[in-house]
Amino acid sequence: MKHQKQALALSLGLVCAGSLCLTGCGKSESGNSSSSGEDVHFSWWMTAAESTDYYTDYTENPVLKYITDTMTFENAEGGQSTISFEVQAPPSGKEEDNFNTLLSTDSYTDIMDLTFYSGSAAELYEEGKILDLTEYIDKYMPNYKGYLEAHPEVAKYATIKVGDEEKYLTLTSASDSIDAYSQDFGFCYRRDWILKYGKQPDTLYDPMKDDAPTENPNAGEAFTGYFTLDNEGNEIHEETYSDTVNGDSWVDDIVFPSGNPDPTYISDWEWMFEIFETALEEEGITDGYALSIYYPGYNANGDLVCAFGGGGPTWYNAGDEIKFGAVTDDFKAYLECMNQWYENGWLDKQFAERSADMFYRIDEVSYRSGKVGLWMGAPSTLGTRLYAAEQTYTDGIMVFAAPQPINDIYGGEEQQLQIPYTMYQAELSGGAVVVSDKAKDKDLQVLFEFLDYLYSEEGSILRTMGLSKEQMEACQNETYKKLGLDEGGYTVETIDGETYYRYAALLEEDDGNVKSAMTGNRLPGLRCSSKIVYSDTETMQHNRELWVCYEATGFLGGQINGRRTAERMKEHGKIRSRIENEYMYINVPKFIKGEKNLEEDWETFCKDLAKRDYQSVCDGYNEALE
Amino acid sequence: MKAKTKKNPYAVSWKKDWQKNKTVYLIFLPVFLYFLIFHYLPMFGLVMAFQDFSLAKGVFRSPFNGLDNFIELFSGEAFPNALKNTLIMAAFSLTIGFAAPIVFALLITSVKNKKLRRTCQTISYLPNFVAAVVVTSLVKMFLTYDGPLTALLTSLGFEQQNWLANDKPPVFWVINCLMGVWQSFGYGSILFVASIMNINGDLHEAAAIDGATRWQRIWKITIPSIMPMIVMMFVLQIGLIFKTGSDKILLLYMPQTYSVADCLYTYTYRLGFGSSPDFGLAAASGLFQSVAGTVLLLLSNKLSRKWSDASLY
Repeated sequence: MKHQKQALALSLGLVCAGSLCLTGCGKSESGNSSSSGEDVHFSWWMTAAESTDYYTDYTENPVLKYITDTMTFENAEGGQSTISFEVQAPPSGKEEDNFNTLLSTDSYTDIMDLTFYSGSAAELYEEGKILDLTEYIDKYMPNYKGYLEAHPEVAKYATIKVGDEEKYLTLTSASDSIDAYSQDFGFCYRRDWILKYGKQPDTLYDPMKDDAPTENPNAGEAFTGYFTLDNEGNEIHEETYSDTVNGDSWVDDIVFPSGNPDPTYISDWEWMFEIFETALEEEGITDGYALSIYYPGYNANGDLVCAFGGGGPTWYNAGDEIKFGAVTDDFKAYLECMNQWYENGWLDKQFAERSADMFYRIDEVSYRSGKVGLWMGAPSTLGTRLYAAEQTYTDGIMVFAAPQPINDIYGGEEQQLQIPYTMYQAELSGGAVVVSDKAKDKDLQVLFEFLDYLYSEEGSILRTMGLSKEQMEACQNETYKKLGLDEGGYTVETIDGETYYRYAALLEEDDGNVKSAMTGNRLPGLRCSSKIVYSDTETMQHNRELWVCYEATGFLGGQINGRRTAERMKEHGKIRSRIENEYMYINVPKFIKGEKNLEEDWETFCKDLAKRDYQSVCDGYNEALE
Repeated sequence: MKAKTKKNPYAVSWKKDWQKNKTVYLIFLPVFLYFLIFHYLPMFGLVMAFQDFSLAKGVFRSPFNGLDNFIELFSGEAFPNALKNTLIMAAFSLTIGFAAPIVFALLITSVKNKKLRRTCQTISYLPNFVAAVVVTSLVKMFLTYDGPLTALLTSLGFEQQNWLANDKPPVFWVINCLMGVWQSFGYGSILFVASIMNINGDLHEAAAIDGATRWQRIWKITIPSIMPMIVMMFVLQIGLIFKTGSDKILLLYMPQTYSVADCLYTYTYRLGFGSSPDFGLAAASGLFQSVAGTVLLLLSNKLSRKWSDASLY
């Protein structure tokens, strides 16, 4: 018994000693002084990790690994140093908690992403938690400065006012252009139902182009359509979908009442909804409907609401000033339309109950089952991608993108035929990375030289496209090899004398994870959007372009938010919560469902919102805008 | 003559006590440390209730703002509704919810077949070990627009609907109460079953010989015998009324049903972790709930001692 106890004590002792040794075995942090060749180490808090299918630690990201393994950067002593990182990523859904815990326990990292921080960068700076980057950017980041000079629309939000001074407190990621492929989602609809159950409209009339309706010579005729390519890229003419056809090669002769091949106006949408009604009836779908709208009846970014005057339902940039949309006649017209659609049975009856999902508050289950006519979806729902053998109603599915519609029916003149300008759209710049006071004694020249590289032409291609063939040959990245990317993540092409880059097939057929994991998507830097060519069919490219056919100048992105003072941000957060969470979320569905009357209750609705002080938020934004 | 002070016969010096009960104290030490570290030290965070708390400044540097957080809390337009719902749901819980385990204990102890009784008891405990998120998912599945319970209610003449989205009283309160009963009646009955089993069998036997019916024996023997236990549990339950709701309501409610489902717990959660986090306000709300709960506990204990001679202490 005594021997057993001794053995147990010995084992425990060994385990403790082993643990201590192991914890001490990590890479030693140099960084205080970096003479030539020495490694400079930084800790980094990122907002999200990549899929664990590929790696569990972001330091294994092929792009970051390539840089840390093969590149050196100039250090403070004029020599060259390598750079290395220890990356922390919070569990999904716990980002804000995790960040707040790090901050409040003073255990934050050298570099941090501020995406999930509810306060302001200015406050962090004033409290001495983050560094003023102005001097470092001026000295060591010529590429970043060059980008800002070339893009004044980004530059005006790149600095933050602290006292009377404008300072660079954050680094923002940027794109050299907004292209259709930067857009994550938009309206999607079942084109196959229109082909199958619709007929050529009697008259054609585009109210923004035509003087008067004209008779359609093909009125009443059925539409026709077919696939034009097989999987090998050979031309075909096939009316039905099969595994051998290219699902994105669909062409048809569908024409909407506006005379356009895509639904352009609200009247086009209503024509389409009537066809969806027929489709649902003919297919025997009893729990389907025409349109899935966002909980709680509007999308705060402005999508669809902007059809009725251009602006959004909450705060939006009306051009020369920030306005609050919910009290405008535009929003009233939107509600009138939604109420009409609800009464017609076109809307998801349960739209106001889908409050659980944080981002996609729509009825995903139904549209993936093929029971919905139009919804807000991702590129992964376009074409034939929603087809699933076990889902009966997805048989023959063909999904096309729809642009933001333009109202031509509801409200007065000011609500009709206005170009939408407030909707979710990818911005030229986004995200905010800060360097904390924990890094102040490290060789920051190495860090900023590294960061600037990601804004250079070479660095931006590496960050956006992943490893080239040559880089792959040099580093023999295991993850790339495992995925069969031995030739690198992209190929180079010359078109009209210009150099362009095309993703390798695996990355272009992105499953939502692999491209992000194989490129440097989560690092700050420049995205070379204008230099990428895609292998998509014309139909698919046209679909993607429809989502960005109007410019989202009214959308208040993260950059203007960051320019508000800490006090303003806190005050605005409370007002926003009182207005949206505690009032609009409850009352807007009532207008749509007809439980409140737009004529009788509208004034009270507007007064209640005014009482909750939306104007103060407008004033704060306008200050930031100035 | 100097008066001789009376010596406490139980008083012993701490040194002697330590020497005598060293093992007991050492066994208690981890428990003491657990409570100290995880329950008492975090109470320091309550200081946030009196601060204009900022994450960047932290607890030590955030400025004090007196009672501003409490004023904002009590004057918030959602507060009266949350308080009303809390009290109503607590009333449901203190009546139906509290009676269910007692009734179950009375029934189960009447079962003569030991094997059957133990099986029923074990089955009744099981829901208590199901995670809140699973319980709420089940409730959602059963009561959604096309859920099986909805279908049953529809066949009984009620309108087909998602019952959890119904904001008319008392639908949500009943759902919440029944969900609580389903999950906790078995586990909550353990103490009552134990108390009933401890009642002297002679009493029942004598009453039966005297011609008392089973119903009379329950009323005149069983219930009076377990009354101290009932009072104790009831007093404890009163102290927890401000905790009504907790995570289950958070998982079930939606803005559509705030008018009937929003309670102090969910209101506090929204303040602290919603779209506009305010840790100071959330701490003030939490402190208010704890203080009010403690006051109610003390008050109910005092009243119970006065009226029924049974109390916690």
